[in-house]
Amino acid sequence: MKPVCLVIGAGAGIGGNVARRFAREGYHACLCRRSDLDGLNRMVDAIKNEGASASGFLLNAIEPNAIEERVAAVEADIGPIEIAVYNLGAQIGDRPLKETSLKAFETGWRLGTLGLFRLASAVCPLMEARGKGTILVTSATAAMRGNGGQHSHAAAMGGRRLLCQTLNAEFASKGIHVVHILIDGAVDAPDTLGKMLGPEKFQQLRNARGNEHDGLMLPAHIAETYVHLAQQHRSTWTFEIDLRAFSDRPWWNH
Amino acid sequence: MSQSDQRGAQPTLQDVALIVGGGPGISSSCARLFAENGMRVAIAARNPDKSVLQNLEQTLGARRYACDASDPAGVELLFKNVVRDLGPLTLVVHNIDGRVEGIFRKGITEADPALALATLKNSAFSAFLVGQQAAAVMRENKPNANGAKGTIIFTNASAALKGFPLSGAFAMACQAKSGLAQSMARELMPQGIHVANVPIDAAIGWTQEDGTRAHRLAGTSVDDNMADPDYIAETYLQLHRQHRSTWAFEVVLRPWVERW
Repeated sequence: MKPVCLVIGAGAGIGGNVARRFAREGYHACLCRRSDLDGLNRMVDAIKNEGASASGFLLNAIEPNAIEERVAAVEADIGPIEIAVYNLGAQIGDRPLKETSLKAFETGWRLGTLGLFRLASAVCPLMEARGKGTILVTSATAAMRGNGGQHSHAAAMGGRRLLCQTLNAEFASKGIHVVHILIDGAVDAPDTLGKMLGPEKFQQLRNARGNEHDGLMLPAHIAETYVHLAQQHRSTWTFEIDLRAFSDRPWWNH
Repeated sequence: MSQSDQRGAQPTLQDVALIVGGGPGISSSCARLFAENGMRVAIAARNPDKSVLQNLEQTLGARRYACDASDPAGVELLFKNVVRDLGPLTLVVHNIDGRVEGIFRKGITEADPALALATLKNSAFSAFLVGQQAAAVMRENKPNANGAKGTIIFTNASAALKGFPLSGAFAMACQAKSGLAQSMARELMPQGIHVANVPIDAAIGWTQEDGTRAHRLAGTSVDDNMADPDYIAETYLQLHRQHRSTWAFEVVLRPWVERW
């Protein structure tokens, strides 16, 4: 039975690439995303075509018990979850306070913070009993800095970062490596940035900053760092790492 | 899933690494790992005749250089000599703690100003000198397959994150080094030079003659409770290999059981 890498939020960007990269390392990748069954199946098939193993599941992280039930089913049917990747975004673009609805703020918190709490509540007891496990949490500039128009996103991601810290404080010495991964820049990800901008603007951005310019973060390369973090020896663990394109402005200079 | 896979993650040209500050810990582990990965390795220390460095020369072919890294002319000469002997540098590690005898565990009113200044010169000022020379050399490099001209890594310490009592000089030195690294990253990363600050937030237990790992003051490593320099080196290598579309700046390393 292969150990499992469970990815919550597996689009064609970081989530899908991280899943594929861990599958190449010998894990069974479980890809979970909210919608687009065709896209999900294509990613799972791409992994299988490389001779690695993967399964795909539609999962709405906001629904009660969706994460908890998926964790239990994967453990029962597929294998032990050694690596859990929480990769749900909550970016809704810049909105002034008066245009940030209560619902938008609450949804941001549910995706940004509460979903990670639920994943951790489900997997930490399993990992603790086995004495090992890794929880890789994708995060954003907004976890470090509340920029204008980011009310919902910054609160959600700030909560995510500090939740990672309290999880680390409780579980590192029990063998669970929690990592807060600060993605401090725009990712070349069609399912998130691409959808937020629309196809035309996304292509313009790719032409201007992406492609050979390497100014958009390339998820296949981001995945290399995720694997390195998961493979770090317990005598030298990293809790937090910041990643950005070489040409980008770091969060502390915004 | 991405068009980027076609470009290789491994640098194509032969890497040349210089480690400034050499001893039995991180520098030796880096020298071994870098050499195992096909790099030519140079290691500089005030006293390059230490047996641990001679051993690196014998086992890995690492070149040893004598250098007082707080001396501008000395650092300039070091870089000239390394480039002449091994070729253009692509990886430079500044690995100097810098504390001098007599500055350890001194309260603010007890610390000797001359020793505090010496600590700053050994640590932050030497980091400035090494960073300056590294940037000058690397700017002339052609980008490798990852789009990078080179990597400059600063080994740092817990004092970069928090000023501990009885440790004012070292806190100044480490935080100065962090500021330097940040400033250099902002300037050099857009030019293709990767700059990283790596605070090691723990005691480092290096391998002793009997095979155990221990720290001079903290004693023997038990159950991986001290940072193992061989694994620290793996993170240094990974930083060097990151693609320029996703570079890390600050990586703190600590053992799983460390309180922080």
